[in-house]
Amino acid sequence: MSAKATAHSTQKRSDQKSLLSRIWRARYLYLFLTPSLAFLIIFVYWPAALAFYRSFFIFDGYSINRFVGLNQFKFILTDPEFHISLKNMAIFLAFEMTLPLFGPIIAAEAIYNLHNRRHQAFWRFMLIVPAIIPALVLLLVWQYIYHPIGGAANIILEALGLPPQTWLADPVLVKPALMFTHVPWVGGVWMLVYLAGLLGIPPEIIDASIVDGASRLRRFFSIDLPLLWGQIKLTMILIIIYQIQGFFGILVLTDGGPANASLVPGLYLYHQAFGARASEAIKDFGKASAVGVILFIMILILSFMLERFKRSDDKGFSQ
Amino acid sequence: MNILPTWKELRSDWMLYLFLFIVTIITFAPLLLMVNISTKNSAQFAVNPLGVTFPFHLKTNYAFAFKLIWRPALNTIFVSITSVAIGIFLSSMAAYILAVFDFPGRELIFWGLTVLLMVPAILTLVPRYLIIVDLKLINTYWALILPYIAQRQVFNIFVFRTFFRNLPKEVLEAARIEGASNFRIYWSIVMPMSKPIIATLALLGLLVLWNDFVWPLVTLDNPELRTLTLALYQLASAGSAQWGIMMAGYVLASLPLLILFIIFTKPFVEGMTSGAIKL
Repeated sequence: MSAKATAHSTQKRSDQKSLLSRIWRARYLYLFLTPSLAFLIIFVYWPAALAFYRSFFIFDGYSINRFVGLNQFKFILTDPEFHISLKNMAIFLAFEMTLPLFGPIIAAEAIYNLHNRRHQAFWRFMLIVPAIIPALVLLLVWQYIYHPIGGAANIILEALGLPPQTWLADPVLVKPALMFTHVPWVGGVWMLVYLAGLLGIPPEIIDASIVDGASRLRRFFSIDLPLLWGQIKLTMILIIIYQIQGFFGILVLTDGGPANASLVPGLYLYHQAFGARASEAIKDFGKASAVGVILFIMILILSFMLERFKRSDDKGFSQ
Repeated sequence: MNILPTWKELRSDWMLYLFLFIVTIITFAPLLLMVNISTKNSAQFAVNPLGVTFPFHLKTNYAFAFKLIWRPALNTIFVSITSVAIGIFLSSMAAYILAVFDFPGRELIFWGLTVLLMVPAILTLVPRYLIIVDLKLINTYWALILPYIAQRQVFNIFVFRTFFRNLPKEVLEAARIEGASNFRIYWSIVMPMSKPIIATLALLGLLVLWNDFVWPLVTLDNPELRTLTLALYQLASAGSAQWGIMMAGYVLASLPLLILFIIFTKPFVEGMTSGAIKL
């Protein structure tokens, strides 16, 4: 038995030695990996951990730093403003799952089905260009369009004999007005992704469908759509993640107004930490961190749900 | 040249052409509006904001707008090019090591990177800001550059890794047999073969950083350092309603990326469709 133990320990030692020597042999690999990992640790892992830690404190960045347990979460989850922001988010998200989800697919199909190759390249270029214009520039142009005095939207209404509107300052119109800033929802980069997917379909499949006399529409539903399903699901996940956390456009155009009609959770967080434009609110980085944790958990749960849905779906495919 | 579709093409594809034409017109309408208004002085705008008016006041509007945004534009160019260049260098090196070598801890690092895909930017926004405050980097270029380098790492590493794994093994093997060092193989063989994917990742990175608004808004208030997006935002919220000058500023702010994109369309599209950006 003791012999066995000795054998075991020598075996273990030689394992350790070989592990150490393997690590030693890879020393330059670690060296070249270090800068990349250091950036991730300092600016992603560490802040992510800090967010959880800070969420248990009231912290204004200067003098006040008090442990309050779960009170921040209790406050946020019962705050009517936070509820409004969730409701607004749900409305925006529901809209994003319609035209903005399918627009790029339809545009990619239109380009893919052109018989003339050079025209494919031309229209592809025309539809990507808007994605290259800085998002802020487009938002500011829309700010002009919705401007109550001299704005293009009201000039068009006037020409049609309709009464002018206040658009972004109107609690009913503000949401559709914000959704409309991405008209016609064929979005550049996503269109490219779908187009790449379509071009990756083996030509034999297409030829076979043509021989079988399938119409374009039939082919779209029976061949293209199932083969693009992976990309579509990924787009859905990314849309959900963006809608839960995004607030850049709304910050620029309305700052959540009027009367919180366009407030979303990300902007709610931003206001907690950096103050609303309208009011000089007290900064609380602890509460903002807690909002971040809540949104993170929401994203996590929804991603896992979609992942499961994806898996059960894959099973269906292989059967 | 046959730029216009032939009758045969029109007969079979007219619905597609019509759809693409309408969609393109709608997409470009706000941009045309922007260019059109950028030619107007206040009097012309007051009388006829939407129609084309003569004479054009290009020189006054654009010269004035240029004076307001040249410095912020240089800031943005400096910050975004520095971050993208360093970011691509570091991430491609890391991805090369993770794709080609087997060493203790590789699985752990890979697992750690995958976990990061789940961490949304909103979770780290406030603590990241507090870290920048603690490091006394508020109101410096570093406040932007350092987090920007980190921000693109994970995505870049995953794309590069997929791309490197699909490179022909024989070429790397041949170089190794001839005694090239690992760094040499990475720098003189792998990187030149990866030009399309580098162009794609660099352009995507530039696009994201060029557009970034919230992060500079919270970390910079020195007018000398402010980025293009901050300058445009301030121009728009100044309340002067000098629409001609504002629109001229928007046009100028859009041009650099547009020109860059037109030059690099081919490698960009090649990279996007190479299969490395697997979705």
